[in-house]
Amino acid sequence: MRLLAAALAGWLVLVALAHEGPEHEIEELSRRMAEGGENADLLLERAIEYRTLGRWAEAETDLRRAARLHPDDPLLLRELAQVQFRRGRVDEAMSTLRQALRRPGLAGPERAAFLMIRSEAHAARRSWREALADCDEALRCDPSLVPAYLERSGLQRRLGLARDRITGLEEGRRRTGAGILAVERVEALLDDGQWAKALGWIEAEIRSSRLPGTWRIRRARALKGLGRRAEAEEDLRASIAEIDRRMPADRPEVALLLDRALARELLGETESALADYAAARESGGGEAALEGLRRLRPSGPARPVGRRSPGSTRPGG
Amino acid sequence: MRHSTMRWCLPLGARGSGRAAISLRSLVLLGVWVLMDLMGRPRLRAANPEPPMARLPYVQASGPDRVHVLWRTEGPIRPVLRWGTRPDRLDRVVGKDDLVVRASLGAAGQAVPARWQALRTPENLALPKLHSAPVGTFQYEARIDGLEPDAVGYYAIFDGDRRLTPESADHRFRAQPKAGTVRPYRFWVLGDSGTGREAQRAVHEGMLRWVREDGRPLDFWIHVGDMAYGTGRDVEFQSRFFESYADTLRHLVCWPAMGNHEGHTSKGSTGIGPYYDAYLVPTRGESGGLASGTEAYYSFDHGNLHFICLDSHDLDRKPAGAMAKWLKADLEKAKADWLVAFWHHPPYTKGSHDSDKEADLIEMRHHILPILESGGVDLVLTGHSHIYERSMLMDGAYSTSATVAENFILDDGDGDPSGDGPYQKRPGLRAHEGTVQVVAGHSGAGLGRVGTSPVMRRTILEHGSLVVDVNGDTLVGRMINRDGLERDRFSLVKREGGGLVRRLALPWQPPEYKAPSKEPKTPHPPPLDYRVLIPEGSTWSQLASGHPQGTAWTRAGFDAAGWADRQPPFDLGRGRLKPANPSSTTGRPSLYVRREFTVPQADKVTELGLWVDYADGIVVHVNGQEVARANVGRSSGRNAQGVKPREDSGFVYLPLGPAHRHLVDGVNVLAIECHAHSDGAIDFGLDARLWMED
Ligand SMILES: [Fe+2]
Repeated sequence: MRLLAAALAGWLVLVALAHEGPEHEIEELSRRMAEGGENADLLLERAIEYRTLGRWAEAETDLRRAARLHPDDPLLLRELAQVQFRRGRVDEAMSTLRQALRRPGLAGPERAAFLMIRSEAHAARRSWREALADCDEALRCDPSLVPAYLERSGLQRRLGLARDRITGLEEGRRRTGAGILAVERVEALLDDGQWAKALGWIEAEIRSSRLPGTWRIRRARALKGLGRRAEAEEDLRASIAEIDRRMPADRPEVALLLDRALARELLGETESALADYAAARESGGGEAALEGLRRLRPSGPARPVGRRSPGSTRPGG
Repeated sequence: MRHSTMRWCLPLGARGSGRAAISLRSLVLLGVWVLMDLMGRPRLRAANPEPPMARLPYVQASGPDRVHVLWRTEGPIRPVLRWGTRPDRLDRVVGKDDLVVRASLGAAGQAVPARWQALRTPENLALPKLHSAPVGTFQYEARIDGLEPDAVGYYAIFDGDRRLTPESADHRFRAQPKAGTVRPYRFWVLGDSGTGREAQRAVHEGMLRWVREDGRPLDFWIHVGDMAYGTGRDVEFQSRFFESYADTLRHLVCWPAMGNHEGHTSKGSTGIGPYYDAYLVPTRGESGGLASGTEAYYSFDHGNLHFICLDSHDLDRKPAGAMAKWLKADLEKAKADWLVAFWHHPPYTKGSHDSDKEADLIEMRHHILPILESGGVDLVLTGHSHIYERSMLMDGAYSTSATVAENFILDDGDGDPSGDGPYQKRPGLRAHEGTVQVVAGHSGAGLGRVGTSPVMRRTILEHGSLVVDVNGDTLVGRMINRDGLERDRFSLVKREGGGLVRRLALPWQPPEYKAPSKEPKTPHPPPLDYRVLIPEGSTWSQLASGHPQGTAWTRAGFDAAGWADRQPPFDLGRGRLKPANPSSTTGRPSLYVRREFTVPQADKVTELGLWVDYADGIVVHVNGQEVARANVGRSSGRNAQGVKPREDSGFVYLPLGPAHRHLVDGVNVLAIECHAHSDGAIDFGLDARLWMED
């Protein structure tokens, strides 16, 4: 009988090498460590499974223990710093990052990855200059790092470094070819009030787009800046119509919400713009949604429509 | 000496022990093998390339005017790629400027085998690095450009004047069609395949057989990740991906998405690791789509289809992240008739993973799907969950708990042209007119299921893959199982008048899944392709009696003068060696054996494994490190505790998990201790061979 059971469980059974999800992986890894002792690999594996299940505290504990076993392993330290940062333990993340960045012989892209986590941590503390310095350093270590160009652009906007921002994005586009850096560069031109220059780029983008709504909002900003208000309004209304067609019924799509909020803001439809910014904030719209709310909240100081001042975000024109 | 796995083995218990002479499992095994050969199944090779080739050539990153051919060698060659429009007329040569060379010459502090020391010249050390390939590996990446769309060419690789690839029409490529070209296209989709085991090969063969019988060849293929278990090491890529699919890779482009297993060693944020060494994908829009500037995510056109590949594993998935921003901008530009997106972690699954519980899956559904569906995506291809799941036509189910299907299903039919009929949409890419989700994580790794996702029309727990045909306004997907049989078919048709969007309040619901009461425990399948390091009939050193002192006996340099030379099976109960055991300390018999073995270059080893028959419990050591145990609870040697009787019998494959980490170039030591569960254990004994997957 035992033989028969073994045979049935054997090669003919299609369910072999079964993988049963993170809970089972955690159980299995825990069993292996209970029997054979802890090692950094198993701890890292278990931490990844904990992270998958959103069990951040347990993930951090495992990563700490793993990092104690292998204090120089950049991978472990990066995972640990990220988990600490994600848990809001910014001081601990900073200390982990310091430890990692002290390590000699760290390859350029690895160093850049650590610097970007630290930059994010600085930004979380609203230490914009330090965050910017880390972005700059990260890009020196790895000039192909697209997210670093974007992060840096956001920080430079906040700090009112318009020219640096445009130059930096141009350099990023040249080095990486990334399409979103070209998009961000147009945003930078608009934020800097370079309406005519931005308009040239925008027209080409609209011609080549299947869904030109976002680009038409950008064009509206430029047209407003150039005093062509009627054309701007036409663009904004067309954008809103396109967005409404595309907006999911169940859960709003954040980027579309932010676009519509901006279009409504530019049309002077403050209440509906506020509602969109608020909904975007609810759905994870982050800083862009918050900034929109700050601009439009009746109790807050109203900003004139025009060139954006340092620290403000969209719209400008 | 190289072997394939399926072999005829007498189990330990068969040797005069009064058990059945041949275990039933062995009979079953033999039967399956013979049957498979009688059926004339095509046998694909999964062998190491002949030196100097270290990775056979494969085509990558094609566009309408270009294609790349990549290959590797052990040590440098004078690389020449010749190509032409006929296999017998290779009259063009790729110039030096179109040839990138990367090399692995040892990282700081890494031991470099003597034969590669001379390669560490300043010139070679200045080459772009391969990040974890065996030392001495050179990778060549040749770009053939200036092609016309759809151009077919043939190629061969030379070392100077010496031809390294055989004269064969299989070494060919085809440039992408011009974007927008409407004609029939066929592509293959698979996921979670990279085990190097039999199921992986069967799925590949099954697909090839079906395609051959159907009479229309593939144009390209997509791998949705987990292509190199367990941690995406360079050697795992080589054994479990490149050797497994060499015949398909050499003439069809594989477009990859990174899985979590590759993510152990490759990082999307840095673009570093074996995954990024292996693949070349468009970062500057060379194959259509918006330039991503990174290999972690990208897009490309193939005729009237637009494809988007995302990194669901280790990049920011939020709307404000760089990947989501790029996705939005890419969708704004996409003008194809069909839009297909692929990545690793499925937004909807109840296979071996649960999309209601796991953060990566939830975030892809929560943040990424709304962008895609508002951009008009038609088909989403994922893996990770080791199952085949295919949805109804659906839209808008993003919330974390939204695996209930009410109001998210637009057509609850089976989508089968010969059943309820195809799903209908209007022509072009339109927001929220419905998407079909396919989880294709069933292409090799062990299958698993935790339940049933209510959005799925078909859930099949079988190994297989997906073949997709697109012809003008019609897309057809077929699940082809490991036997080459069609197990599911669905179709999307885009015509004027189609796609009346109605959200079904009470859609068809799949039957509830009842998990089997107790899943059978299955043995670990052995690798398909391996070398024997310690063969049957080898002489081992065996401790004559008692227990060894300490752990020195598990390491090199141990003086085993007092040990006896023996050949397995080591069988104390049946008189080959009269026991001084049972041990006075533990009250049950134990035996200890050790043997040296040679590994020429340790960094080329994918996995060490034992083909072993044992009773009852064993602990295995390589170079002084414990690498496996079975049926022994804790500790080892005289202190071993919790020895349980073995529940199965006969030879099994026991992977020596982390053994590759402890190997050295040259002589290594394998040491095995075997413990009976009680004084009266009648089957006590051990027989073992050591295999190496490389
Ligand atoms: Fe996976």
